[in-house]
Amino acid sequence: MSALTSSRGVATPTTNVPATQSRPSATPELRFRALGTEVRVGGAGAEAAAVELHRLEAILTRFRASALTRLNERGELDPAPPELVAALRHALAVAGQTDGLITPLVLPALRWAGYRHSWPAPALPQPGDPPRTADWRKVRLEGRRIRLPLGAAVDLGGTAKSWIADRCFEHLSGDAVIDAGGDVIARSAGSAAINVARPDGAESLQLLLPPGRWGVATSGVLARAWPGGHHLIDPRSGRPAVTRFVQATAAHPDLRRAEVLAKLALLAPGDGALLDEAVVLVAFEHGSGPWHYRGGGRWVRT
Amino acid sequence: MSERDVRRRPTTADKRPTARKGFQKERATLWLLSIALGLGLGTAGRFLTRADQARASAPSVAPMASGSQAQASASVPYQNQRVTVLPQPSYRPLATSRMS
Repeated sequence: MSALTSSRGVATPTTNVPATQSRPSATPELRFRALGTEVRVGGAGAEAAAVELHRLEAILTRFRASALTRLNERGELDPAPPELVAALRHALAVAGQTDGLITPLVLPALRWAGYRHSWPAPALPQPGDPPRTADWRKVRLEGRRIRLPLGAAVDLGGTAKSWIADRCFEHLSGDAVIDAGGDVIARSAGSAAINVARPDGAESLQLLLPPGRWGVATSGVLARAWPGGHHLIDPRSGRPAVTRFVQATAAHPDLRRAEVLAKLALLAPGDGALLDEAVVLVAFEHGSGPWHYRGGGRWVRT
Repeated sequence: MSERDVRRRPTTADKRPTARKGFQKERATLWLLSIALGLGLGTAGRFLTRADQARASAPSVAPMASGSQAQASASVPYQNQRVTVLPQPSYRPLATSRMS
């Protein structure tokens, strides 16, 4: 039996578990606040993974002094920390794969929409039209030198959480899990069950995953939302996205891909060319669902 | 030595058929034992193989309270295995993915 199952006492949330079945933890498990959410790290090497997570967050955050805020203030950074270069390179690669739908250059639009400070401290949207989102292809990345297009600023919120979780996961050995506020990466020698919370708070769905390494990511427009806005910007309009689905969850062996696919399901639910990569994709409309992705841009309600 | 004595003493040639018969009997017994052993091992092997297959296909996660098993709302093949979506939790989860 997998070390991740509750019989070995690891990484078992108390929700939906009868109290009589709960057992003491036998493998290191840490819970702490980071990345603007609750993070849970379980498995051998949890301490090292947690230290690495805090270190990467300190470099990539836009909410306090960091290499990223220096880049945004100056428009360029040389030499940038290798971690910022790597995270930005990943974000730009995602922008390329999604034809700019998921781009790191939405920060001016996010600020305009009201997301100016660390959550939860939203403000009302600014009057007038949103600023235009700069072309991601104009970001210059040469060695450790980063140069942004005029007026552009970077927010890595669309890709960095899974990127950080994936990097930190390398510090864990054997059966392990990192749960970063909805972005879950797990490795299990046996099958693994991951719950998917419904947006209306009703009883969760459950994904039953084969042995191996899996990423499960959920994205939605009802969290980090405030009157007149939410955090998922559609770069085509520069405004908070108007979406068919309010929540989407993707499962993929690579958590970084799962995060991208969950966001794409919200921004482009009919784009089969992009979404077909998902192993499982489940989404909810307002008051209806779940909808299961069947490939080719088709969704079926079950 | 009388003629009777001669008849009573078996010659080597006389002994051969009896020895052959005994040997054949032992060989038959060995064959039967081998066949029985083979059949036994085969059956046990098939049983073990089935058990292994059952173990491999069965989820190793701990089920929730009895009676909470749910019908899958979706099941997707993935690398000779399946990813299953259950409409409600039936196994004890490692984590919960949610909007954040």
